[in-house]
Amino acid sequence: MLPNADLFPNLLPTVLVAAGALVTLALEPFLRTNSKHSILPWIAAFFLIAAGASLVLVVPGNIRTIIAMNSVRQALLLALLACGLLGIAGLSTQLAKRRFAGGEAYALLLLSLCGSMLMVQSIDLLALFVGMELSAIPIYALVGMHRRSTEANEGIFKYFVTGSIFGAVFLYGGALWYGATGSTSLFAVALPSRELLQMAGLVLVVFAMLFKAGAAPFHFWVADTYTGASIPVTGFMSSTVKIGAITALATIYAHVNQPAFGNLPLVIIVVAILSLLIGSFTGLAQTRARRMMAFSAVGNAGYLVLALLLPAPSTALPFYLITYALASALVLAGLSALAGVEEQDDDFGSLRGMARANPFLGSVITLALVSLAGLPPVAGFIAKFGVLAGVFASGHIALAALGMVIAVVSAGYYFRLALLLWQDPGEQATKVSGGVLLRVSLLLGAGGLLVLTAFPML
Amino acid sequence: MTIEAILLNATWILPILTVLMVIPVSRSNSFLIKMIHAGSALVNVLIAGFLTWKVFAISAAAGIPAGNKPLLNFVTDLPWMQMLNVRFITGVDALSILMILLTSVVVFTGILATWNIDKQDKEFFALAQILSAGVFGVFMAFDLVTFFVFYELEALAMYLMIANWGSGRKDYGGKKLTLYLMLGSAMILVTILGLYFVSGTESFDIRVLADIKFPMDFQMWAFPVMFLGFAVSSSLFPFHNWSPDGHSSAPTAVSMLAAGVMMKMGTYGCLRVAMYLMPEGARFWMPWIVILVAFNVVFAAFIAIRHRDLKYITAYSSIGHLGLIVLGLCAMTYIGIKGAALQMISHGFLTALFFSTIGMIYSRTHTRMIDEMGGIMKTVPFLGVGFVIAGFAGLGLPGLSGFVAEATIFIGSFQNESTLMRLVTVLAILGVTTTAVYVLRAANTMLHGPITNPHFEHLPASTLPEKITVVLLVGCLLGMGLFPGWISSMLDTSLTPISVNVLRGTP
Repeated sequence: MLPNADLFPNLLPTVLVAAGALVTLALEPFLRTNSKHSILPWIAAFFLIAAGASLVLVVPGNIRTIIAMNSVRQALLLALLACGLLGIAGLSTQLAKRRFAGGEAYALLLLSLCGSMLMVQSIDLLALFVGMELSAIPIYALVGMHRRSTEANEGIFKYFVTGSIFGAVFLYGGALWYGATGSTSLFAVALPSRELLQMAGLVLVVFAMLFKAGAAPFHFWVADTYTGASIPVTGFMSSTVKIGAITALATIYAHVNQPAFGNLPLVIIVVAILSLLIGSFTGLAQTRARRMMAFSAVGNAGYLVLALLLPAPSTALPFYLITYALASALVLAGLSALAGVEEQDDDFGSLRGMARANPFLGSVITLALVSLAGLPPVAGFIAKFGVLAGVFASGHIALAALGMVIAVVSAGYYFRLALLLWQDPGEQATKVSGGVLLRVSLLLGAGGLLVLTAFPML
Repeated sequence: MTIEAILLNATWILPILTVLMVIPVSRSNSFLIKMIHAGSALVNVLIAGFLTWKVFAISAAAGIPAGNKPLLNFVTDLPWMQMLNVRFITGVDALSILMILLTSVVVFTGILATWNIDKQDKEFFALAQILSAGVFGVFMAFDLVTFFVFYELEALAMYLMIANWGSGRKDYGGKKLTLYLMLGSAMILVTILGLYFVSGTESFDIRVLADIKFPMDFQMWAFPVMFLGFAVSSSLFPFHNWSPDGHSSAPTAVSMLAAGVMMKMGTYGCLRVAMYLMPEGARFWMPWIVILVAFNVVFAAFIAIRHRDLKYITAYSSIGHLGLIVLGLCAMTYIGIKGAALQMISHGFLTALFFSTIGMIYSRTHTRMIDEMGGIMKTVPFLGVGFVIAGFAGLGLPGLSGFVAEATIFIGSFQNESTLMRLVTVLAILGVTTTAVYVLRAANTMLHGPITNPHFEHLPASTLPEKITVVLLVGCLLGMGLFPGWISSMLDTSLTPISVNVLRGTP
């Protein structure tokens, strides 16, 4: 048996998703515009589900020095696939509504998903970089898909320029890291008297990941890019990119136990506080769903960064990550059916009362919003509870209290949206179907949230 | 798990299943929807009745348990969040099962009393069921996190109900209620975490925490924080003012559930968690809290006199009665605590009767202003009598449950020898006479005298669901008022062990 025989099963899910991308891409030219948005999503969904099933074959354990796999990563990969499914389903709804001529978006989305999956699994700087760029580049294309929209142009421009800069920051950090350790492994230890160099490299890599995760003060692209992207793309990027970046961050952060990195927790605390404050208070002022979810992404990045402070064997961070990603993807996938395709269609005014005409979509969105708000009994509460209890236990009582207050503040805007959806619309709200795939994937996602409630991996 | 444990958990699972069951039913088939909901609520009443009887039999056989732990029956204990050792623990002692029985009756009558709601009845009943699932869960939870989760479930449903179906300033009422409740829950959650970490037991199990004597400096801040957190939902002064706005804007079933059971969750939590686990903190803070109670009891009664809107009157009367419950708890005597428990149950029935008859009268007269009504008794005597009985129970007429509870509270609080306590007791007794003023005046203006509005001469007679509601609730009030013995002896088996903790160290 080859020494790396278990490499294949561990990469199988990613390979299947990539295969799905290639198959949809190959089929795309042979389909008419109408059938593109009904056939391709199902093919993509098939590959995603196959990838999910192949997770059973995965052999937990560290593989070589590039790709790692354990039960936590398995769960994260499953969550990624679920978010990908929701993204595909939302995308098909929106593109069909627009009668969009091209069907490459599905392949792009799957490729980006591959990148995020690689980020989750990688324990090597180079693999991480490949994953990071693979997840980012298709998203640039997805955000900029609708060329005539000024918002999309603004969003893609900001994301592309800043994303490239932070790609460079990452590479520079990686180079310093390699210089300090003589290795690209994320677990490498500095050569004698080169701890400071490693620290510099680490800080740059951490900043790049914080940028990807949308944590303040690296959040400047978030609001415009989230607003510029079409709603399902926003949902997809808010969930998958965050899973990839935060998992990578958590892997890197394991280094903090070394004495040379003594100040890193302070940086993390500052980032967390800033993200929490900006995410909650700025979010309160938003009147559009995508912008609101953008600030929700910043605020939740704050909780996630806070969870880095927990002692090592804690599963609070991945659990929070999964519940957040799933809930955010659910909200935006549901909204991609409820809202129209024009730029301002996710305005609170035009969403008013939509849940009354569409109780299923409305209920799923409400459930996900309740989870985001961290209100019991939905999984989001358990996740917040786990993180804040851990922060409380590790002695940062003031931070835990801040986290609770922020949860109440940000619940304000989640509730506003939830309530708005159920309010009396004045005139009859339109009934939308959203398609079978969307309904099935929303049902799966909502079911997933409930399963996480009953059996939290805490 | 025994069959009783499964039945016990069924009381909160059944409402949720009912909601799922109703989803495929067409909106136009509103009768079927209502029948399914009423049916499931009735099944819950039967389950709760059966379990109450079982608990009664068990506690009669076992007698009063020694030590500080009530005899917990029908326990379910499942791991939930392993990292923090959170467990899903449910079970009932005498106090909890009586609260569950109360809840099931209020939910059932609440559904019947809102039979004719025409606006989005499908969603309304679904939320009412989810709310009841939360309340049932709170009364059976013996793990602090399980408790909190159920506690919040109910707040969410309550918000959506008031914000969607209320009349009048419903957005305002709903938001006020939710902000208050969320503030309260944040305070409760902080204290729960504190209890967990300070105890050093790595457990949220109330039974385990009951054996810990928490350090005084912890209790000094944790007790008031938790107590005030609970006080929000039981509308203690100065957190009372969500209640009148919330009630006035809420549909009948919501008012019945809110005043009947939800406000009791606060006092139940005060007793079961705050006072039980932190008695020393309680003893230090109770003299201050009793000052708030004085405001509750006296001010609420006087404000109720000024109001003309029946729902405002009843809301303030509820605030007053809840004040009496807290007065009983503040007394820190066994009889006071027992009176508080009795009042929780009694007031649940009486306020449900109050709000349901008001809702029924309102649906006929389309006004809740007592000045605009007159002579209703002549056209709908059945509802009039129901209202009067609720009022009499509220002012503590002997023979009805209110008297039993209030008398016990006053005896218990007068037993506490501090001057302040006795002063407040005397004020509270005077507050009860004030209650008589507004109850009798409302009944007099509204029900008697000539029929002021020609429209009132042809009010529709009361329907079958309304009759069932009123008869069932009046039956409960009378049953408790005339035969308080069995409830009282049953409560002893639960309250005696609780008071071992609460009264520890008292001279």
